[in-house]
Formats: sequence, structure tokens, C-alpha cells
Amino acid sequence: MSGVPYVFGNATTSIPLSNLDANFNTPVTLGNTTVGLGNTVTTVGNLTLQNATLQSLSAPLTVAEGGTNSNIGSPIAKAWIQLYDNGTTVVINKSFNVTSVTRNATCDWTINLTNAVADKNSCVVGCAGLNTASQRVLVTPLGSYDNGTTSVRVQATASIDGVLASNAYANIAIFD
Amino acid sequence: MKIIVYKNDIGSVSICVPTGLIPIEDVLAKDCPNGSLIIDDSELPQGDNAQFYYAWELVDNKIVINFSKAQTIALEKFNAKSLEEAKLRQLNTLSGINNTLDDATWLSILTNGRQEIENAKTTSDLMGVLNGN
Repeated sequence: MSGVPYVFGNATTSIPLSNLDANFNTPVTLGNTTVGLGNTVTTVGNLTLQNATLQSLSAPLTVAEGGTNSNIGSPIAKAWIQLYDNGTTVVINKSFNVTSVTRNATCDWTINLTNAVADKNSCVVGCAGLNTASQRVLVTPLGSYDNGTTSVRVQATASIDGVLASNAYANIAIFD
Repeated sequence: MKIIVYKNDIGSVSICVPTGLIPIEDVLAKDCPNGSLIIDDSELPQGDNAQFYYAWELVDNKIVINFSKAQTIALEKFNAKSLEEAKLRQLNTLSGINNTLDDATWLSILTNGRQEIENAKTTSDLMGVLNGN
């Protein structure tokens, strides 16, 4: 393999065709892992992904920290939204995995999800407020409004008396 | 901005606001019951009418104010506010503190307020009573 550069000066330098080893015995190094052409590896070390999309179609995406694997599906919110109920309608400021918000009554919202969560045992968390003089309490509605898999229902009250507020800002996230 | 509205089970109007992730027609099919309508949010009740959400009704594909309901809502709010005032007056009396208004004057304001709600013709009239104007 005389004349074949095993290490390139930078990632955009291509190996000249004239310098290719006759037997294609030319490895590529990703991070600190060298892969020979025609071979495979399942672990690559010291690699930084930039502007990357991680997608696991058939199995949970797994992360490892300090040698311990964990399902990445749990620590990351499956859906979230920041909204403002202005007393007449709902203004959606930011959201993820949400197709719409239904205002069932004043500060009574159904968050409709794009992709459903696994079951009704999802964890819905959040906080709400209004301004420098007024706070809001985020509550689960009375009745049989279980967390759904395609939507969750959340309300905001002006105090702990259970009376729905007329307006509020709310931040809501759903973990599963 | 386009939104979706439909009559809900409390007799008022639910509003579905899309995030824009999918077309509103898809939101209509996915998140809303049959009979829901796509409208512009400028068609929602505005001003004092907006203050009486529980009096909103969907009639002939338009959101209107059921004024009788609005009067009931206003009376409930007026009574709740008056009740808090009455409690404070009672506490003052028990504590030997003079109330700013004597009983006859306060009772007159209470009675007049209720009468003004009954005689009101618009939601602006109702808000005027509730705001003490």
C-alpha cells in the first residue's frame, strides 16, 4: 500500500484514485475507530454528530451514560406546548408533536397529539401563570378525563378552589 | 387565522386551534367531532361579548351570545362579589370597625345592581354593572 495515505489531512480530502491500494485495503477512520473497506463495526468511538436526526424505527432509541444504558424515550418529552389562553381563544407559541389545542371552556384545554403515546399512564407535567400579579394552578379535570393516548386534557384555575381561570399562560409537557 | 369550532357538551362552543403541523382540514378530521366548522378567528365574539364565554352558542354556523345566559352569568358574578363584601362587612361589625358604607346604602347598591343586570340590554351594560360603572 505504498503511497496510500491512511490518515487524511481533513474530512473533505478524497484519496486520489491513483493512490488507491490495488486490493482496496484502505481503511476509513471515524472518530477513533478504523473501518476497513468491506468490513462493518457496530461501535464507533469519540464521534460528534452535528445537525443529526436520530431515528429508531423498530426499537427504542438507547443512550448510555457512565456505562449505563437507558431508553431515550423516557427522559425526553414525547410532546410539549407553550400556550396563552387570552380569554377568547388560544394562542400557541411553541409546540412539539401537537396538532392542535381544543379550548373546551375557559382555561380548559385538550392537547391533541400528532403521534400517540404508548398508553394512558403517560406523565403530564406543567406550570401556568398570568402576570406579575396573578398565578395559575394547572390541574387535571374533575371526572373521568384519563390521560388519553392521542390527547390529554388539562385545566388552569385561578386558585385552589377549582374554578376555571378566564385566562392564563401554560407550559405543558408529556412524558411516556 | 383559521380555527375550528363546534358545539360542546356544556352547551357552549369549543375552539380548536391548529399548530400548523398538519393542514387544518386534517386537524378537523383528526381532532374534532362531526359537524365542526372552520372559521376565521375574527368571527369569535369580541370585546364585552368575549367576556361571556359560557353564553356563546353556535347557531346557523355562527357564534352568537345567548343574552339570557349572559345575564345569569353576570348575576352569579355580581352575587359572588357581593357575598365577599358582605363577609367583610360582617367581620368589621363583629370587630367593632365601621364599614365605609352604612347598611342601607350598601343594600341599595346591591339591589340596584341586581336590577340593572335584569334590565340590561347588552353585554356592555352587564360589564358596566360588574365593573361598578
